[in-house]
Amino acid sequence: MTSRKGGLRAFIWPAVLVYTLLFVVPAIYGAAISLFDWSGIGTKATFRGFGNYLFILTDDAFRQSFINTLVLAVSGGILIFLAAFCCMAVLRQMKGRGFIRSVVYLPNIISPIAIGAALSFALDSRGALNQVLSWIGLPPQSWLGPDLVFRCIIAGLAWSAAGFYVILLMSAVDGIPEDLYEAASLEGVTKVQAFRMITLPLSWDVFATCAVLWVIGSLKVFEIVLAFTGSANSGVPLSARTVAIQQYMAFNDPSGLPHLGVVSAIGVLMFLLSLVLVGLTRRLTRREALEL
Amino acid sequence: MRLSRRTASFMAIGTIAIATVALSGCGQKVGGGDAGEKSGGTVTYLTAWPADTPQAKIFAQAAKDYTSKTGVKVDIKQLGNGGSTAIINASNSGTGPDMFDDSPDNAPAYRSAGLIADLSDVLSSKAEGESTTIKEDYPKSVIDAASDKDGLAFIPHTILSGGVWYDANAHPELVSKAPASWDDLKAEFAKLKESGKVPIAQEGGNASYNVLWFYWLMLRSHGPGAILNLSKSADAWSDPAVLAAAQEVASIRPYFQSGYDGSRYPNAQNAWAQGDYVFDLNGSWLAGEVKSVVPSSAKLSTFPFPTYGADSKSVEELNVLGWTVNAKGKNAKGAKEFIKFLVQKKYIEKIGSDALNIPARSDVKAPSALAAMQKAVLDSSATTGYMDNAAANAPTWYKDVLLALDDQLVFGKITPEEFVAQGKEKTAAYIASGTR
Repeated sequence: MTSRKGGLRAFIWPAVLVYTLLFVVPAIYGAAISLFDWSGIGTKATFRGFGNYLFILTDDAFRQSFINTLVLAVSGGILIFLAAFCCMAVLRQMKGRGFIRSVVYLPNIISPIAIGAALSFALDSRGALNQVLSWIGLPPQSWLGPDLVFRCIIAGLAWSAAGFYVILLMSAVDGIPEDLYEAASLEGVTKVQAFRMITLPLSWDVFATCAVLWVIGSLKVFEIVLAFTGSANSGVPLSARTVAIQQYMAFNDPSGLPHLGVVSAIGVLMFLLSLVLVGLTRRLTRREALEL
Repeated sequence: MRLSRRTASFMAIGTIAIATVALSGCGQKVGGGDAGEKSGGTVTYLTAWPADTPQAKIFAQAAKDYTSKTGVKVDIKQLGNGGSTAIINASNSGTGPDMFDDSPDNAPAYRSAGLIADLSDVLSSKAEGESTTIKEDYPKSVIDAASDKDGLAFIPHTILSGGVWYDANAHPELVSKAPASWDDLKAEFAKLKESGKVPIAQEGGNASYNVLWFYWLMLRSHGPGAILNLSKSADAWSDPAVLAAAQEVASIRPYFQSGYDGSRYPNAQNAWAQGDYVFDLNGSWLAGEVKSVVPSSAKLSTFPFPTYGADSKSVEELNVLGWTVNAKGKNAKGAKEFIKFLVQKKYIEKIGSDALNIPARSDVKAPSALAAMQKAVLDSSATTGYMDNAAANAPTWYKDVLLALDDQLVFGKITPEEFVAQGKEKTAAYIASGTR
């Protein structure tokens, strides 16, 4: 018995080795770089202690990008889960719900870069949206101007990401036995009450997982912002930057010398932040397991 | 599933083997010659120009001609999006190219990695089939622009500068009498607006174009170093010229096209090229960029940024693009020979005729659109590098302080006084943080 267990345990060693070499070691190395000012292989590394962290925490640009990221996480999350709950309530019994599910999921398949680029050309001051607005007599807006660009990015991101969470939550809803709903309708329960009292509690665990996935994913939003606003040689405007963008700009420096210490420090901070936010999310969505 | 010990161990070994083979495909391979290459056999040239650009075609043609003449193979590879980091990493791991192209902005990065070979022997040689040394083929200001304190960094092929663009066919009166002073230019803006035209095409989504108004006004006020000094001391912002320049920028906002703040690159410049707007303050590369949308009835032309104030400084921006030889490359000698072939007049001429940029050699004329700019740059008594060298020497300040504040000024979110006050405050914070 012991020898077979030991033999099976040997199977995990390749995975542990790969995981350690390719994930744990580089992560520790990255955390070590965050204490230096270094510009890559061949250049000298000067020790800065926590200087990089101090710089980041007092830097206005980083603070703006950090606030943007939090706004994105919260408002994007609200938009997405609102859409997902609507779908859960409405699509549960609709005819053709499989087809609608595929349609809702479609934007998630498209690369965020393609979505960002396409939307930004449609939202340009001379783009399609303003043309349509002028046909119906509404004034054109500067959708990509400093006030509105980030909201457009959040909307584009929510549209792109919602399908993924809808699919997950719908599959949870599919697992709820139909006779519960039948019994409820016999008792005279409205659709909204049915959603609140049956659908939501029984799919809560999946929702909790989705919330954690969204929180982690929203802290890493990058390509869609770059495709929306990045242009040839000017970087991303301050009002649209997320933390990942700020990290990228420290890396893709106009002088050709990346600030790897700052880049790593931002990475470490975001990792710690995601730990905190995930812990918070799990605590907020925690509940006793429901026996069915 | 019951596995015998043999099957289990085979599976484990097989998994590790597959994983190793798969992972060995990772890692950066950039250019690089094969081991054991004889000098003169192959030259690897890593170019930043994508294959469909005119520059890439010119260099590829030159490489073909060189191979048919000397038998030396020139292996041109695309750099892609790696940038200078890719070249530096590859060179330090032994697979770097023999030569590559870039601009002096990135010279500090290459120098600190020890990647720029001594080019003085190339300068004192003659180009293929010509009678003058390469050094004599270039104006002194161009050689200086391509050099840093350690000597020549790049052998230039293109000059990059900036000025005001317009359509000479739509506005022939500007050809003979371009606005000579800033006040003349502002009067022209007002006149155009009154006649119902949109005077200025402003690409609001591109911060490095938004800053050009403030940039040129400061250069005219204080000459080279005007912008760079703003990054070195917070007190430099108290200079009245800074507030005056900011106020001028705020005063021309009514002349931008409506919705300029939501304009994504390259929509404003394409619309300008098609005649919707009159002027575009941009770089010398603009004609090349809008080539595909310019109607045949248009004749794009430029004039240098006008004088400003009673004591306007004569200074033009002079940045170069060029080739350099990798000091850690395997065939530096072969690369130098190829460069001597590349700088022949017949290829540099094509930078003007095909690529629509300003060629770097003194005996080559720029296309007619850029003639006025070329003359202004070469005649100017003083020159400065791209963005007054602020982007290269104070990159974090340039991106996060100057461009960010200037965008807010150009969009009308802050007043000129707030611009100066916040500039002073943020520059002080930047200097105190000790970041580059």
